[in-house]
Amino acid sequence: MRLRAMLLLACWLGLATSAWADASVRVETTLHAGEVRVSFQVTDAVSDAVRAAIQSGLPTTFAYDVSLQQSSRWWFDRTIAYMRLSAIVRFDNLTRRYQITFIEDGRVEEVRTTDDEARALQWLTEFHGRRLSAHRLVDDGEYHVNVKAQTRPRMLGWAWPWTPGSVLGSVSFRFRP
Amino acid sequence: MAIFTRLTDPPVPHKALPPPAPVPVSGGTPPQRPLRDNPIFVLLAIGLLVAALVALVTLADRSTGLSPALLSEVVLYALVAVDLTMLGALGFVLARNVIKLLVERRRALPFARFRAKLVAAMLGLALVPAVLVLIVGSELIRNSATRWFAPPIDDVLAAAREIASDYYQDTQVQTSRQAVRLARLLSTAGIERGDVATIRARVSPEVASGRSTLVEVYRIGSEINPLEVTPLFDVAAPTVPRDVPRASADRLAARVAGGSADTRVIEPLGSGGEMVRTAALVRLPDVMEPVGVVIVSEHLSGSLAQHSRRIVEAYEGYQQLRVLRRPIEGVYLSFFLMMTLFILVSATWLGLYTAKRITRPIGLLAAGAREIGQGNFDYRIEPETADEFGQLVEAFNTMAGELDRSRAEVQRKSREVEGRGRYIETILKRIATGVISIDARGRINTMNSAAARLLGLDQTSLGQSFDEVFSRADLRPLLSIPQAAARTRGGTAGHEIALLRDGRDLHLAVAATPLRDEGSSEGTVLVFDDVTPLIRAQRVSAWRDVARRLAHEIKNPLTPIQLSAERLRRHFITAAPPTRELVDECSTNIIGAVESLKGLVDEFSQFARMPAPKAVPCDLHALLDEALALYTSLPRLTVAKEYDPAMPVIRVDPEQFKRVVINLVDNAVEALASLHGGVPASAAGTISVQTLWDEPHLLARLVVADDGPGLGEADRSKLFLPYYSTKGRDSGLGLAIVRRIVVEHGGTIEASDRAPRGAAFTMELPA
Repeated sequence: MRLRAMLLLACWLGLATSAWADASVRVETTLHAGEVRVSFQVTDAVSDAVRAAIQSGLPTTFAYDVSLQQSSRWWFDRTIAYMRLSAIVRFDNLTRRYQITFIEDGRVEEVRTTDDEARALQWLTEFHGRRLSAHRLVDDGEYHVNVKAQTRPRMLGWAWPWTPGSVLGSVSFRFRP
Repeated sequence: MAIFTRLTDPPVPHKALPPPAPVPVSGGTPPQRPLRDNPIFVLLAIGLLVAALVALVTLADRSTGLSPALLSEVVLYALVAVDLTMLGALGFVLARNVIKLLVERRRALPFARFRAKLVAAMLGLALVPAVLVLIVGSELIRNSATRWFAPPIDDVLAAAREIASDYYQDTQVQTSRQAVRLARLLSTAGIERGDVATIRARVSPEVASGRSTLVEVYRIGSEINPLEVTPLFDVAAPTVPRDVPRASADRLAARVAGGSADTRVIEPLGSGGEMVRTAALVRLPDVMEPVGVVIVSEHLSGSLAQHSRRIVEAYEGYQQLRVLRRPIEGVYLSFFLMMTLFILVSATWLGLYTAKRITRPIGLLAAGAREIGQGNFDYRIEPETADEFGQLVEAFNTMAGELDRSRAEVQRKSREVEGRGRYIETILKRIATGVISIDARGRINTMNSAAARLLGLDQTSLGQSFDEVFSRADLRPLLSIPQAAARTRGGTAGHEIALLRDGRDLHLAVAATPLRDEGSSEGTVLVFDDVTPLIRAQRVSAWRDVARRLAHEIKNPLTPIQLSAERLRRHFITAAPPTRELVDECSTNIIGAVESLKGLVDEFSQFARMPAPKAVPCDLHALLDEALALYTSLPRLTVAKEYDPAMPVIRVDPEQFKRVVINLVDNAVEALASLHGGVPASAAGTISVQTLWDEPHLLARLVVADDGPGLGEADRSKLFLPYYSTKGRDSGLGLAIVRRIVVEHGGTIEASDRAPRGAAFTMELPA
């Protein structure tokens, strides 16, 4: 009886994290005219549950927290830039079109529509050349760009909702002008 | 002597009562009740809980209408958090109760088991239905959710959505084809020049033929902006509503002219219908340069659009419900779990609260009873409630007050009884009357000192059988007295018993009274009075009367006899010598006998008419010296004086005292003389006269002893009787007179043998 209960609990916990079970974030950074630009792509980001949520017409948000941190040997890394990107997809089951709204730090940047699911998913999971920071980087300084991706709503069970439900990716570089 | 202590048993009540302890509760400011015991607070908390539950029920009822993010990230979180909190609270309360039970059982505190049982009972009562509700509710939700997504509904909704969607798709495809076809048709129509007539000529037949509902043509490029689109021509079928806005078409044309691949738009109309628009670029035939945009629109009626939207909304709602099935189930299950836990926590709390409400006043009453039991009759309990327990507390306080008053009354009466008991005890200790009580079982219960002294008993006799104690040879005459008293049926049986104790006659007047209480026998009380002195006094009185008569009857004829004998002797003084000698001898004998009889009669007379002593302060030693001076002429007699220099002046009658001393010394001389022929002049030996001052008892003790033959055991008790003589040649009044003088001086005299031989007379006189 106890074993069954523990297995049930494990199933619930597993379901809670299944949305990003196989996902990973690939991050690239470029320096252009003193700006740090970030490109990232979430692979295998759309699970069956997320796809079902999108196909049901449920507005589904792909949220990304992007931060630039300066490495510190003796203390916590210092966050010198932060950006929150969101892509909200709404699938119209009547016209079979995806409408994706891009929001950056609370501002609506762009609205795109397509009837191609692959393209829509690509728009939701790939971002290129996003300007992250115009801070002057320290020569030979070590930096990290972290991207945390998560979707909402989270299709969680009721046993333990406090699961992370996100996937992380990061890249480090040393600034040499 | 503590022989009579049982008479005052049981112990004095007021000594057993401790002094009143300070009142712990009564008076002063009543203790502040904890907040959790405040009924207003409890009701307020219950009201808030009910309101929260109502809110949660409402929230759960509207859970499907909530936004998914709110549902899955707020409501579910909150419910699970509440569940975990209540689970923790339940665990905490149960663990605390168990630990408290163990601690209280180890400390043997009262009501711990009762509280645990009550909590267990309440929890047990609530557990089964609550868990059943949880299981049934969970299964109901799961079954309901399963039925929601049953295949018929799923299939119907999917098919309906497919139909609606396909219709829109077909419309879009048709408009798209028509737009492409018109774009090719208009590629040579001079759009770049703005040749509206040519455009109309080519487009109007399309609308007129019904292949298109609405066609709008735009020219791309201007002198200012090469990508600017300018409407050139539009033609609409009569079925197209008049309120079709142009703005969306303008935006679509601009977007397509800008190179966007998204060439379609569906625009809702105010009348309820929709316009399905599709754009196509018009390019020049040779250079393929875009010069214009043609938009073909198809009007969908309002009812069709609305039905299609409803179908899709239903489908999407259904699918979203399926997607959100797990969070929604979670909300319901969390809610059921919360209700279950709430019931269990409430049952536990209610059990604890009820147990506390019951045990607290009972505990206070128990503590109060203990205080009362320990004699703290001032203890009062502050009533905390006005219910039955409060009335019980009030009744307890009333009882304590009554007990306090009763205690005071009992103490007062106890002091009275104790005083009376001490008084009786003192009387019984002091009186010369002996008192013995025998219980119903025939055992000696109490015995005062006089009884012990008279009967020669001690404390070991207490508790022993009366028959065993009085089976002693000298006490045997008393053995039958209790039985005789019992036969009197409540009366008092009087007896006069003569005992022989220590060789002396002891005359006792015994009164035996049976103790009866409501017909049952509770024992017998024996009262002994030593009437020996009375008997003796009666005898002395009788002898004195006899002596007076003898003195009168004998002394009267003695003088004529003596005178007659002297006359005969004078008459025959001239007679012949033999006759004269005979007469002289006879008359001398007669006169001597008469003198002897006169002396005897004088002694009798003296004994009979002995006056009352006239006591004056005297120096005993001087009186002794005067008396003992008479014996200095006896050559073989030694009088040894041993005077106590501490002897104070004693109040005695000097003559009578000297008489006592002379009689005692005479007695000793005769005892010594008896060893040497019986003539006093021949007495040889030592007579010691010793005085001793007994300071503690204020007694002057005089001892006259000799080393003569001593006293016989049989004679010792009769020495002081009148006319009792061991010598047979005197009156036997000497020691009787001694005793009488000593007794009339308030003293005592005892005779005893000395070791190795001799006799001693010890006289005690009060100062």
